[in-house]
Amino acid sequence: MSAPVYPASVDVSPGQPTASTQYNNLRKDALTLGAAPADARTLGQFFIRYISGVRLEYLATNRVRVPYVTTNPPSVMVNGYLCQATASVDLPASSFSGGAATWYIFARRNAGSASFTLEINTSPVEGTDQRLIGQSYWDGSNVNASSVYTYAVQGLGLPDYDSGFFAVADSNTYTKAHNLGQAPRLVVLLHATSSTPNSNDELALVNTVSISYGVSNMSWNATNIIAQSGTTAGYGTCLNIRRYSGSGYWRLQAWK
Amino acid sequence: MAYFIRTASGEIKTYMEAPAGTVLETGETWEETPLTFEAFSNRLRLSVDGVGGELVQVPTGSGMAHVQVDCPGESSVMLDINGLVEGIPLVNGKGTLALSSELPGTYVITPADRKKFCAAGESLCVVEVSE
Repeated sequence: MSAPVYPASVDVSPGQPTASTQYNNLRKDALTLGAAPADARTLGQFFIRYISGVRLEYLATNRVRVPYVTTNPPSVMVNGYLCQATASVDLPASSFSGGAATWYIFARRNAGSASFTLEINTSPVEGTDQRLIGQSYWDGSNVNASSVYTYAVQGLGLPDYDSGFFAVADSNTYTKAHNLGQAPRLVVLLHATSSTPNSNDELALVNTVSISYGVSNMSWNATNIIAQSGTTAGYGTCLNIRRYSGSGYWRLQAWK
Repeated sequence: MAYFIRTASGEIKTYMEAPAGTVLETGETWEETPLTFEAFSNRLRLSVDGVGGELVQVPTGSGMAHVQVDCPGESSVMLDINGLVEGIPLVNGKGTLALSSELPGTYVITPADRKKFCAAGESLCVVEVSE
């Protein structure tokens, strides 16, 4: 199949009658870049989920922000409207409330404005004039800053498997079925000293535990991740220059 | 709600905020508690100078190391210190265990009743007395 003729419309001279063919070619140029309707989506349909330059970040205290970047302004199609911010967009204060939950973040198009605002809901279902753009975790008191996540941002996304924190001690084996359907490409094991670390608490990466000397402590396959603590008292769950531990809590995260 | 695993001998091996694919070993069983993960964790916490969940190192000859015992709702708790069981009286759920730092060595302090408390998380305290 040959490429569409684009533009199919041509210039007309003042006073020259405009034939229906000319009008239809002009319309085809505008809607499908010259392609026959059966061969292409319209530009409006094509860009219906367009989003660019929208990257959520944590904003103290307990808010989120889409920062404005001159070279890549936040732009998002909402309900068929081309919305583009001209300044940073902040979620209003005191938007989070209630018990611990994942909150979904929406860009809202507002009549009379070419920009957008932010709002949140515990339901991910988009309403009229809303576009779901990300999420964050509210622990009942605070937003976990590291949980603020933008769906459209390329790069390391949310883990495909997350064990949550679990209590650990020396000389144990912890096996987790990750349900990824394949061996994970990346596995991270984190150590916390508290069952509910807040966003400012230091988490230690666990690559090594002690069995009187340091050894790696994880393996995985297409079904399970196996994390084993070491046998040396006080050094079996974390052997990191930042922290030694034979207790505390682990959290396994995996990406496919 | 929190979830915990008992070993074949009835001891609590670990507990977690979500089951999340946890695979049981032979003889292990699942149990659920209406307590939150945080509340279940806070049933027994051991710390030294506010530090829990990690190794505490103290120099030899630095006096007594004091382990704070936090066990809400209990008037006493039995702790296992390197295999020796000692009762710790509690006032308003709080008490102290004093450890000598005269000689180098390692103290491993765990709940004596491992069917009630889990010897992991913050209920396990390791104090290393080093030269």
